[in-house]
Amino acid sequence: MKKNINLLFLVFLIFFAEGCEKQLLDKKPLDIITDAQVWNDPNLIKAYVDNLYSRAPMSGLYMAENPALLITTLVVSDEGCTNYVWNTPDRSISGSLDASGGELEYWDYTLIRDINSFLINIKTGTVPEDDKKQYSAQVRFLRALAYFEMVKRYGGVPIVLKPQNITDGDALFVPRNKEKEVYDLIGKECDTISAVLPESYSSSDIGRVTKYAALALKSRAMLYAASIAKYGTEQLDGLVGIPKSDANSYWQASLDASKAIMDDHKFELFNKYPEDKAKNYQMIFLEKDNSEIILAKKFISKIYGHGFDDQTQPNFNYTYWGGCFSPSMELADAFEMKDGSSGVIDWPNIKGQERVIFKNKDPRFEASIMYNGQQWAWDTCRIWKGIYTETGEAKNSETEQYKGMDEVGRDQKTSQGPTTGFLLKKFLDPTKVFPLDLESDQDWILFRYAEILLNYAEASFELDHPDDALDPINQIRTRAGITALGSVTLDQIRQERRIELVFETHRFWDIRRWRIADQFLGKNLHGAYPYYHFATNQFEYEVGNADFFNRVWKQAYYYYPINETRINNNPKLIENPGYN
Amino acid sequence: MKKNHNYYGLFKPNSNWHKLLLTMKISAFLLFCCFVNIFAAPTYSQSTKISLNMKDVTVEEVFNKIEDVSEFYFLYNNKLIDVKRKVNIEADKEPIKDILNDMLSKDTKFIIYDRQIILVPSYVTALSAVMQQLKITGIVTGKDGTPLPGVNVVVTGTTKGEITDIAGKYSIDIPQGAKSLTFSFIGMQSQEINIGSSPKIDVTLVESAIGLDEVVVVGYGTQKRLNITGSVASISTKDVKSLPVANVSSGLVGRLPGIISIDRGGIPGSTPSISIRGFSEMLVIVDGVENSFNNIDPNEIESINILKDASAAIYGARAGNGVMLITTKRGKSETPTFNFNTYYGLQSPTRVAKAVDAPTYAQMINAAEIAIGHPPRYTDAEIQKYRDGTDPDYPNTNWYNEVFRKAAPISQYNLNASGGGENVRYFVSLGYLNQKGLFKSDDLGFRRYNFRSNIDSKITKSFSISLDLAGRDEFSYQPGGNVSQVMEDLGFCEPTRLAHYPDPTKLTFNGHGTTQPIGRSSKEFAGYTNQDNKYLDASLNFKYEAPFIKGLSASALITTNLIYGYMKDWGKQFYYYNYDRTTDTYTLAGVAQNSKTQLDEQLNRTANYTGQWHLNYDRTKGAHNISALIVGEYIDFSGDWFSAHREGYLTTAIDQLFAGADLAKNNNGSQTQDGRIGYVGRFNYSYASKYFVEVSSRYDASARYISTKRWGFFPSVSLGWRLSEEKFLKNISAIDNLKLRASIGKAGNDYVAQYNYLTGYNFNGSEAFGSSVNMGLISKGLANPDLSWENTLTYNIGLDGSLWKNLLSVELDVFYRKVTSVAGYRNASLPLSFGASLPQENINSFDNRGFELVLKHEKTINDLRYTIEGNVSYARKKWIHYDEPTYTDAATRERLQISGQWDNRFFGYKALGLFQSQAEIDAWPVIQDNNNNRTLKPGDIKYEDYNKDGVLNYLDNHVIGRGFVPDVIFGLNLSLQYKGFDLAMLWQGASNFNVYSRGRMTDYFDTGTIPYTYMTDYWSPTNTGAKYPRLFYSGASNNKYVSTYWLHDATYSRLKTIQMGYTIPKNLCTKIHIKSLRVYLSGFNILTLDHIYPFPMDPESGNVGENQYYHQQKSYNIGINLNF
Repeated sequence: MKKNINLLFLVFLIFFAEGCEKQLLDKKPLDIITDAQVWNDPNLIKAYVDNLYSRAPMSGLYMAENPALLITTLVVSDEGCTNYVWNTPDRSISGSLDASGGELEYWDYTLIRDINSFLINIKTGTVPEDDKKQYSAQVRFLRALAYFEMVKRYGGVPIVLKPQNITDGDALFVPRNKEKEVYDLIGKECDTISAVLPESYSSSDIGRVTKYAALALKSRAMLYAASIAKYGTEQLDGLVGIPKSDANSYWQASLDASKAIMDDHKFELFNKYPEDKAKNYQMIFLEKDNSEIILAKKFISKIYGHGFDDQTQPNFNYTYWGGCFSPSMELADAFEMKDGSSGVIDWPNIKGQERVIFKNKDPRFEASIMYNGQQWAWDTCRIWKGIYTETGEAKNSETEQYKGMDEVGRDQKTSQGPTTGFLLKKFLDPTKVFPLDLESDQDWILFRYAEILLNYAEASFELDHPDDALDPINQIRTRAGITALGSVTLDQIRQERRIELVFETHRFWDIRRWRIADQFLGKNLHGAYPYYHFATNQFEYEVGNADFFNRVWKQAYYYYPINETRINNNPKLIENPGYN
Repeated sequence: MKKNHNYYGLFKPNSNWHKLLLTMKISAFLLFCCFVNIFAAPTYSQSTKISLNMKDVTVEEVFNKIEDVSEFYFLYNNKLIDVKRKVNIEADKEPIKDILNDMLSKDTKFIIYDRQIILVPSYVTALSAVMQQLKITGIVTGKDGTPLPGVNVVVTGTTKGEITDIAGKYSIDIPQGAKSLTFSFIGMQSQEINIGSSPKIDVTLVESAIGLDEVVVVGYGTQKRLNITGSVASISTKDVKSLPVANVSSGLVGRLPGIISIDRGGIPGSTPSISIRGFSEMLVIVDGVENSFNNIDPNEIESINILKDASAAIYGARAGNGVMLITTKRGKSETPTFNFNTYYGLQSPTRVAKAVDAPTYAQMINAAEIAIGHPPRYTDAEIQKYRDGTDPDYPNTNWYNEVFRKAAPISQYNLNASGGGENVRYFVSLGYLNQKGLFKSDDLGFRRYNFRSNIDSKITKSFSISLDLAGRDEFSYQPGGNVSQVMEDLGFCEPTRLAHYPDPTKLTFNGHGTTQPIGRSSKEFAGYTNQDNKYLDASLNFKYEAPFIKGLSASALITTNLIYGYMKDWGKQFYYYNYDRTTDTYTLAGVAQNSKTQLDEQLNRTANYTGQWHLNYDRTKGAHNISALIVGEYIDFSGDWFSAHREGYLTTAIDQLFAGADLAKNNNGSQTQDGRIGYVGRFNYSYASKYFVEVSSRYDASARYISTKRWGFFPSVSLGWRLSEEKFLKNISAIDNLKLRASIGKAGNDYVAQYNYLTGYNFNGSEAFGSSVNMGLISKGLANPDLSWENTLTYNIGLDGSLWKNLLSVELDVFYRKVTSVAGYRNASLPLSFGASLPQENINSFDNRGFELVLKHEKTINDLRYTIEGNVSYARKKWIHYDEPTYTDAATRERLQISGQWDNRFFGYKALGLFQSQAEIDAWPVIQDNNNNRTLKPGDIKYEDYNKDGVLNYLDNHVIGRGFVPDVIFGLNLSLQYKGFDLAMLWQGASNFNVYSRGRMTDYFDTGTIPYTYMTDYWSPTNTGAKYPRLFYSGASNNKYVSTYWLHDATYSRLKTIQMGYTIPKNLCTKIHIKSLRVYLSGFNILTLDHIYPFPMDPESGNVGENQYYHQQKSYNIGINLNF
């Protein structure tokens, strides 16, 4: 017995010690795919490219519930206000933006590195050459787009076109390139890839970059470069600003790119509902893949959706917050009347239902801005801040009714009520009842044909061909349903751009590149608040300050700060003027 | 008998044994005799013959010689026996008895028990023979009522003594004139009881805290406290059991020096994090293998030991942050004992922030509106209606009370049995815990069932097997909205809104676009989330004592730890309504925020297999004691999970996957694996229980690293010196024990990224094209083949002392730890334009330093016994090197540099109070708002311009306080027992840390929240002495800067536990056929002293300043311990 047990014990020890090591320690991760597997497999290469798309700066509508970028970009401009504190770029607005950095940052060299790596790695694989060329062109577009997002914020940024090696030492510390060099890079890249990319894709690949997307990016980027050359000042030896002498060549480059798109006649202004101009304009942003869209980021309800409706719809239809953005009274006034006359309303002296008041406004007003009394989803929008009784007594209790009427309009009641008397309507989907986060599926349009026409008009005018500018402007006005112009001025071109592209995140960057931000920013925006008067049975308006802090604009804000962290990381970077 | 072998080890056969007797005195002596009588057969002395030939030698030298040539050894008191006397001796194969008879003088007599020879002065028996005898009997029990066999009962001042029998009974003859009896037992506090008129004296012994013979569990073995050279904190069964808390770690803080347990909210089933000396999370070993411990039933735990210094290094690459060793109970050979323990308690928050009531809210809204030039929102008449509460349209709702109840019950039951004979011993235990949450809906709570069966059986004389089986089922449930969501919702509930309609199935609107918390906190409306975790631990241990080499033993252990976790998350879409009182009709008003009918299920499995073999050698020769240990350890870990999701349910009636729509169904899953091998060696040497050396090392490998970086060597050395055994201190009777310890050891921390040596790609980031979603693939980033564990080098110096027969004992440890090759990302020193996601690298380093001090006083005066123990510890961490850019100017360095700086610093502005007037603002030279102070108003916060540049901005950030983890922790334990009554109190506190309030705690109407009552003390021209700034709507960013204004010193002390118990007298117990019964009342966290007031934050809440969590709990409990 005893012997057996001794033996058993010995066997036991051997069992443990023998051969355990390899089995226990040579473990491999179960979720990693190797280099060799990726670059020889067309499916994995495509997956890599698609991941780059998902990270590229292509959407104003964030994937999560927070439509942060869109709202932030609108609020820093003069288009409106938000009472969502966490969406508020208050540093940019209130004048406290400094070298510690702030809102609207974009510095995605991780994306750029992954693109640069792709361009080298793709060459090592065995997939067909044409696939290599096509995918390379697509990701080069994404890289150019990333540089564009950076240059429009910071001016010149470091240009890195190859994946750096960690052992590169001092060479890792890349200084800023000149602003002009970055724009030139974007222009050159667009030229190269537009020659390679297809004109269109099969339906399952819609959303990928086409030849026209590349041209559209060039059209926009060159327009920016041209206006910065013409209106801006070269500083820091060209790190910000572009020589004035280069302006015309950039106008021309933009014009050429726009013309290339126009001449191919692959796109046309959306005009599916000519009998209802407001609806027609509204549907540009709701009907997927329509004739006007050059490039859009695709969304699919629930599985790849966003929360725009959830965040932005009026409160009576909310599921969460609703009403996160309120267009300003200044913007409302900027919409002309249908006959082309001034749309400025004498708010304190006007009475009546908005549907009457706004009846003769540009139909794009009806399609873009939600106001009191407007039909929405299953009900009308009720945005009044109070009532006055027959005797002129003011009442504004949120819980009280007066003669069957709520003293405060239902959609104004909560702290998410509109801050200006208006709400955002453009992009909103009226079929979404109680929309949840991720249920919205409006595609985010990056480039559409109307912008190309506007770019063309602006470049033509700046190149002293005002006649060439007139036709594209009138195409847009006619489609929108307002009177065509007989001749055109620069201000009219800019005005048309402001209205046609409203809320599409152009305004803030446009007034910066024209260097006219000081005229529009730095002063508080207003609301026109409806009150119902029982004496007249009419709504009347009170104009009030809509911002909960004071807007301040500083000359330095034409560029964002590189910021302290980035400069500490790389002392070769030089901070932009006004931030030291 | 557990104590048996300890005591065996104490009486080492050596000629210096008398030195030990200084502490143990004659009592141990007699105790020893008794044990020998019980357990050994006295045949050796008769059969052994000895030959000697020595001239002019001392008696002592003869004893040494006899010990060398035979297995005999001698025990005596050198104060009573003259061993320096010179003798001549000649013997040829004579029995020991004859040799001694020849050699010893007339005044010395000897007794032989087997191999032990005891010398006593001959007058001992001579005296007693003529004494008139009085007999005293009684029973000696432990604190829990179990009888203690083998207790030494001695007539004080004499050698006259007896030993208690297996039932704890004794009977002793008392010489006339004797005043008292002394009861002593190794590991227990000795007691002296005066002899009264009663012939019966029953005694309860309590364990002595620094009992030198107490067995302490150390890495891969046990050691006596006497021999320990490292820093080991211990807590034993009695302390663990008396914790009326659901989890063990809540009860450890304050009891053990250096322990930091941070309880960030008391949600049922949650467990606080626990660490030592300000380190990161430590390794937890349960019965020899790595395991989680928090939800182990405290009734199953025998002891908890924490290895704080080099003593942890034996666990190698995992041990850098200390090791906690949990040992579960095992059976003893004794009559079967059944224990039934239960308690019932009521838990409630330590403090709750109250929102203002409806009229106050309306007034504050009006004031805020007026302040920005708007008309008031509520009329005076309306406010009056809210105040009156008579008009149903003007409610005054306390939403907190609508969602939470005052207190939630907790109850625990445990039944265990232990016992056994020579060959088989058992401990079996069954437990149940039921903890409810504070939601009125009763849909929040935690239940736990647990069992344990530890069986030890002796198969042959040298071979034994233990089989341990333990299982736990933990079930936690909560409504569709988790606690923090409900707390967030509560913040938005306007008190001017109704909480209920006549129809309770119709939810009201709370005034804001969030969910109504009454719905969210209820299963009926919002659905539920259930988490069910099942644990199964099985362990088989073979032990073999080699008969061929004395002192050699071997064992092998195989353990499996399996966890099955199942989660079911059933969300329901729910709505709220408008109600027309006149027509009694409800109209749908909206759907609750993000509420959606959907089902998620997830199954997790992990399996951890550990194999260990041990070779052990322990031998004493003369004054030399040697022990050696070799261990091999093999760990294999694997885990996997998968989940399923469906939505689009037509009805909420069926909460099953099959009932969901096919459209948006989804599933997911993955696997992980890990492995580890360690070879351990340890060598101990001690000389004369005076000098101690321990050397240990571990050769450790982890599958997380590349094969060339996989193996590491972790050595440690520690030394001990009992000064009290040295000549110069030996005669100072005040000193019982004084020991110096020093250790240095290297260990590791391998909680760093796994497989960092591989590059590659993961699926991540999908993108939509056309009408479908394509999978994305993303690079994992750069690889670092060199990544390995963090290295820790710990130095510890300690002092243990006990004075005046344990009246005062002290334990002091001072430590320094240096952690190098700390894993970090080289992001800061590389330009961001590099763009790669960098791998972890072993680039940073930091150190910790601190001390722990324990002072204890215990005394027994007749029936009154009391203990006072105070402990304090300090620990702080400093970065030696942190990867960051080289900052060139001093101001930037001060603001940003981490290297060379303390770790727990808090940055912000210094607030200088409130502006009292516009004139004060106009005169203020510092621009605070970037707008020439135009936006400032009286009642706004004024800040210090730290860098004196006239502008308040990020450049003015500087250190304004410490972080959220305390540097200083202290505890004060008081306990006293008088007859059947016992009282124990634990005061615990901490200092050198802060809490910070933000969000809703500081902002009157932050994003639409409701102010708290303390905020009514806001600044206004008529309340210039206010504590808080002027009323502001969102946007007054000046008052929200991170500053000293909202940073609070969190120093606190609190009555962590108090317990009062009563043990039913013995004779009553006997009548109802039980062994003992104790009833107690206890309280947990019931009193807190701090100066955070009026901010309603618990000092232990840390950085959760928005108050959106389940609050820290206090509880009152009633319980019984029954033994039968």
